[in-house]
Amino acid sequence: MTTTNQSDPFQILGVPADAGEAEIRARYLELVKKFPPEREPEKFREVHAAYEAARDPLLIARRLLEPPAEEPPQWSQAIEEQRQIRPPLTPAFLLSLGNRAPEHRASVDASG
Amino acid sequence: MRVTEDGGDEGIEMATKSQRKKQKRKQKQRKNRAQQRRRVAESGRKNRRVAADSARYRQRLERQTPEAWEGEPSVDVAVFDDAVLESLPSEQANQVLAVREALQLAGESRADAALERVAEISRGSPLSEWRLFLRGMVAWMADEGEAAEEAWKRLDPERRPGRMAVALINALRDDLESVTAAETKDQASDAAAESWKDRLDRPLLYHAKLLRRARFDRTAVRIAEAGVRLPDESRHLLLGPRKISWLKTFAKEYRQTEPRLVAALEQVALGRAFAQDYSDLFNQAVRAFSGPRHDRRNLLLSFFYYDRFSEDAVTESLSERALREYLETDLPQNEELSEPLRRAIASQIHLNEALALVRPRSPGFGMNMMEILYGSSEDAKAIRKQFQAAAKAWPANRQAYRAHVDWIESKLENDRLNKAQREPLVEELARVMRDWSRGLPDDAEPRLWLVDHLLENEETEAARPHVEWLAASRQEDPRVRAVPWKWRLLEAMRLCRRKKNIDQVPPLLEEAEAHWPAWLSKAWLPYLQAAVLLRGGQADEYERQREQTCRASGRARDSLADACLMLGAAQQMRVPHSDLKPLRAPVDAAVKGLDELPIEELLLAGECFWDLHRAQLLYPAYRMHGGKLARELWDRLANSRALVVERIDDPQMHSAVLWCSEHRFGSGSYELKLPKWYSRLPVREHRMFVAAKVNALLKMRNVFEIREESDAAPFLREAAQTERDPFYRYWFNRLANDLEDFLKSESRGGFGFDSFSRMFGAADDDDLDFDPDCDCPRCRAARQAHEAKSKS
Repeated sequence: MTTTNQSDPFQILGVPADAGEAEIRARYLELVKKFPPEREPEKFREVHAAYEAARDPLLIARRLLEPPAEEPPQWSQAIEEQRQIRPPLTPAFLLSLGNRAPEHRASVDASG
Repeated sequence: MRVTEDGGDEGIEMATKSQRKKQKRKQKQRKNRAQQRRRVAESGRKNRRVAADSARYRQRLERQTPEAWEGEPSVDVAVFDDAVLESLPSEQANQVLAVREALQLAGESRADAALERVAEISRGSPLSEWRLFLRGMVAWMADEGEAAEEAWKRLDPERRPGRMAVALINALRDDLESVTAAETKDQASDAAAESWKDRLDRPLLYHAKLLRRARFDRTAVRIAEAGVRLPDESRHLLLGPRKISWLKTFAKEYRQTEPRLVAALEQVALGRAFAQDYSDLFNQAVRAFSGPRHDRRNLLLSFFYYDRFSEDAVTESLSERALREYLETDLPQNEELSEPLRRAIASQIHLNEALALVRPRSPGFGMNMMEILYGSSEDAKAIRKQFQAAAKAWPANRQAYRAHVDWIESKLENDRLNKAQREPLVEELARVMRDWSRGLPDDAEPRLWLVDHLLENEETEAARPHVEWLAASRQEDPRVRAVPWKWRLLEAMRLCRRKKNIDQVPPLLEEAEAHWPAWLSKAWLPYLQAAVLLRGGQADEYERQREQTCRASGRARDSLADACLMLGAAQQMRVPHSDLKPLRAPVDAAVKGLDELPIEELLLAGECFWDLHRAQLLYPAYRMHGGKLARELWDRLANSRALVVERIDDPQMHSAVLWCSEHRFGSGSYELKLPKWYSRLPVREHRMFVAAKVNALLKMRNVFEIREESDAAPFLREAAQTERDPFYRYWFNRLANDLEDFLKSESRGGFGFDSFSRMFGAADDDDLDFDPDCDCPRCRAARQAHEAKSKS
């Protein structure tokens, strides 16, 4: 049904139906940067309206309650999609990148 | 020829043709099984090699924790050490906390939020290095290496942010594997003289390689690619036990480092388990894999899964249990969802459940397949409970109110209801409208209804706030703008209840005339005036008024339109029963002799009735003859293509057809019966006829036929733009919106929560665009086409 897709705020924003508020906001800010109101007023309006709609709990609820697709999902497609999305970096891992060699480590025993 | 197992001479015998065939088949099966075993073993060996390699890699990742070095500034150590954080002055401690949060956000690619978090750190602060680092970090995460370098080149190489930047920037190098580390600190310093990013000592090189492997080489992706290629136990399986077991192990190993990949593969596994009809494998999958945020335990998925087999009592009970557990236990405790979202989900589930319980509308005329098959009884108590729960959980659920109103109105359509049966339904309708108005105070629809209802019940004070709100609102709905007119009219009707108030009525009618909406004919006004005279006992004046009205309008006295308008006006103006009786007579006579009524009279009556319909001013006796007259008119028009085409632009014809559409063109609730000329030019592309068809279809809610009318929405929108009449301008847009809303909700319906699937069990019919049990012409034709296609 084309009418459904055209007005689907999640599709316009390019986020999954179960995307959290933070994810929706992050994507919205990304799109606003890409389509600033002064340069792309029409696209900006569309993105803004989709952002407002995608935050409506009832609309999100309706999307979440859609039954799964009847076609079985494909492994290869999921892997390909994930290949494009790099994994997040945890703060602990990031901070550990700055470690020095073990011999320089600060001593933590009683002798100080 | 073959040798028997005992190998003796007598054992040598000739094999028959069928035995040879069987033998060949067995050999082939053995060969296939052996091949599959080999493939599995080979894949297992390969996977074990990769798994050993991956285990070493995971161990390295697990060892990666930040460790302070001798003399490292405490502000840097505090970023990962709580004990040091506590020792810092509060201002610095707050800045360190901001850095911690920003690192988390930047690692999740939430650039703006990360930078916003550290925006307060001033240049003079010892933590400004971290602010600079984060600026480069968000660029690095967005694959903007040059921007990252630009930010990081000013970092102090001896501090942690500077070292982290060196590892990060080197991880982008394609030749990283061939790079060697500077052996000593001096060598590293010399290299740094060339460029800051070449200050690569052994630990930094190791970290850069580890980072490259985690973020760019993605071992887990390679392992997943090999894993999903594992052959399933049978080619009929979409997800077999072997794959489930593999994914369980994979998820355990990589959930920490590749959470998104693991979640995505789990969703695919669940989707594949869902798409096949093996409930044991489905159960294994839902127990093994975590569902999405809103359904971690896959209860909702289980509901949808078992709902497909709703003809079976066991699966029906499983489906109901899963939904109940989700609604009563899982959802209220799900802290991953916000409280409003939890309430909205609950509301929508209750609404869907109510809709699944509601049978299609009772027929106006004709035959209703549902009632023939399943009887007319429905669990009204359960339906009410679900509608009420939907509104309670989310009071702004407009769809819930609309569906509830629609359901009550379908009950009220039944002509056989007596007053005692009708009253509680009207009261229920009033309750729903009140709740709707409270839940969505900006909606005009419930207020419009409440004004009529409250004035009808002499609750003027309760009606006043709604009238004032409607009069002040800037709604596009012309009925809202007509509120001052309708208020006066209803007030006049209310005053007529007592004879002593009659004197106040004529001035009110004069005021109503002054406010009469431009889109509504004034044909009814002289009849209302005549009715007031009759109510006041001024029989002579009444007679004079009638004669004058007929002369001015050209309608014959007691012709169908004249009689109906007079009866309607008299009933609304509370003319006593004894005086009403003679007014009923010509209408009853017309209904008795429908065949003899000239079509012109029916068209004229249709025009008047359409006005009463859209002004929502139908009189009580209309129920007794409105439907019959509409059916007669439509039967005549259905057989008079020439007349319709000849008068296709005549407003009277439009009104008459639109009035017939209010009665679903005399069709039952299952199939809209329209003459062939309706789908031919010029009717097919005439805005009024398109609007009439959509109006009728929306009243039927027949999913099969509405689906075919999706093009009507943009057509009506376009027609609205050029329409001069303000009522139609608004109404065309509203029809288009209602049609699109219906199509959207229908396209989402699928099998779960869907009344049709529950009744018919649509497990195998999901991809058919016809109902296999239906015998309507459309389904019959579609079924024949499908059968022919299957044979070919």
